[in-house]
Amino acid sequence: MSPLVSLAIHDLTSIRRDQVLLNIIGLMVMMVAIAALVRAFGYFTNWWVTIQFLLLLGYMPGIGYLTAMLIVDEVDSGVDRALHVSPLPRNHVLALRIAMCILFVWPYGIIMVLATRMIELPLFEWLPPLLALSLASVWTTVTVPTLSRDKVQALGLFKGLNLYVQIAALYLFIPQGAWYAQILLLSPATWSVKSILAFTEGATTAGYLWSFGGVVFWAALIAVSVAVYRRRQDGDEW
Amino acid sequence: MTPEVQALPSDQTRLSGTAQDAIIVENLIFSYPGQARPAVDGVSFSVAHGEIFGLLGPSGAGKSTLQKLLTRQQRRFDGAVQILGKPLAAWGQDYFEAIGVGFELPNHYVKFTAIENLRFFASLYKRESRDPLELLALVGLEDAAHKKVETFSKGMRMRLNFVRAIQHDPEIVFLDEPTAGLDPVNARIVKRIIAELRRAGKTIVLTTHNMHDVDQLCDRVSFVVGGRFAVLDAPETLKAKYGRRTVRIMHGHDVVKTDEFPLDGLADDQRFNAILRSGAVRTLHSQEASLDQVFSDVTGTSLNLMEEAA
Repeated sequence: MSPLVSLAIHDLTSIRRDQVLLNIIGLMVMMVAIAALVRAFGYFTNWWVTIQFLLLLGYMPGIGYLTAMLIVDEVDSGVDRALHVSPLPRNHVLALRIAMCILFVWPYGIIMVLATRMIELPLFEWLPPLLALSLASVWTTVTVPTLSRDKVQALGLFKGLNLYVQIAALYLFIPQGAWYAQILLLSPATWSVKSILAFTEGATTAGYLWSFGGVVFWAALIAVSVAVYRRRQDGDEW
Repeated sequence: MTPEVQALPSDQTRLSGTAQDAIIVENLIFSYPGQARPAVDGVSFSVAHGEIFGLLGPSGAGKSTLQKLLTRQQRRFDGAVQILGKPLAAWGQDYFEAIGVGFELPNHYVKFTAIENLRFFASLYKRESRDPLELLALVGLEDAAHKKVETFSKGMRMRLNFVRAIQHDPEIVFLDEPTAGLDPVNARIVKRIIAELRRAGKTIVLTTHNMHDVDQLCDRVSFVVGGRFAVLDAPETLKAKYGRRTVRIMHGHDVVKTDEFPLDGLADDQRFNAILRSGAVRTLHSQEASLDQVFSDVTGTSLNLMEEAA
């Protein structure tokens, strides 16, 4: 078995054995189930679009935090140092966690929108904005262990970084033409919101462009976080 | 307060390495960002294959930083380091196949059992690892093999740290305070295994502030203070060099007296012989220096006092 596969199995077992992480998964499943029931019974029809966006911005990235918590746990217990003096390259470890994060979040988002159907779009139009949003989790996964020294700091940071994603929801509640609406574009999550809204309005090209912009924006933020994370792993303080 | 320590002069024993050396370090300098004073300040030494080399010093002296540099946990430094005949920077990930690292503090996946921890780390190596159950039995953890590490005491975790460092049979083993937190029985077991590793030809770098470990295990020891080597030699040589060649004798039937005699010509010392013949000897001790005394003489302060201050 390759070391990377061994680590992947080890990570999945870690998640399975961690009651907090299992609770997070349970919560995520429950949120989708409740939203699907609301949709199925036809309750709160006026709020469906808002509910869908709140679920996407507030809960979808959360499933990716499982991998962030794995890294934080390793830093907290010091076992990351033991990994660093093993033949498994540090970059491979990080790449695996990033890949796992996307593999958790992107399908979860797809299942969410397909199960709830509160915004009706063809699947191929959902994929780009959901991919961009799943990168929010990747960014968090790298940034939290970069900036936090222990679990307590990590949990505080999760809240702060979540706000950076969830603030995009404000875009739904303020006048579209208002100058201050543009400030929300400082969060790449807003780009996904604009992408989904463009798709719902039939502006397919704009939808893809907003998604592409969101992916690039998140990728830039992730690149910065990875660079700082690697510096910290190399033993440099900052 | 850390005393100023002069770097060793270049003619000190075995500073420059030979082809037979497992580790050759020349003028190694490392500073943490934002700190004016280097944590490792121009250190040079070499370690032969099959040698146990001790880094002895108080907390904050730079010995753990030096170990981090040699184990590539810190990758930026000035100076030259050669490991197993190859510059450190030229090694790839295969470097970690050749070395084993035992950390000062226990660090394990606590929701996994001892044997799961060992098997997971063994799976990261290309080379064959030793049987984890056999390793756990070596350090008295066979009954705890299938228990989660979160239920372990610190001593048990430290023993698990130790066997994880040696399970892939590395050529060089770096051990940071391997007996810290262990009871005397388990400390003795760990020291016995370290001695066996040396007999098997392994090179060991032992970082510690424990004089007894150094005394019992190390072929050579360096005193690290303020990022520099204050002295580097065999413990016995240091003790002989800095100790007094005398014998102290306590004697007397009713009133206890203490006398000290030079070791040289002791057999011909009539007064000493008279005390022996009197049948009133209470204690008799040679006065070679302890490593703590040597440390104190060399650095101008006691290691224990520096530990308390640190």
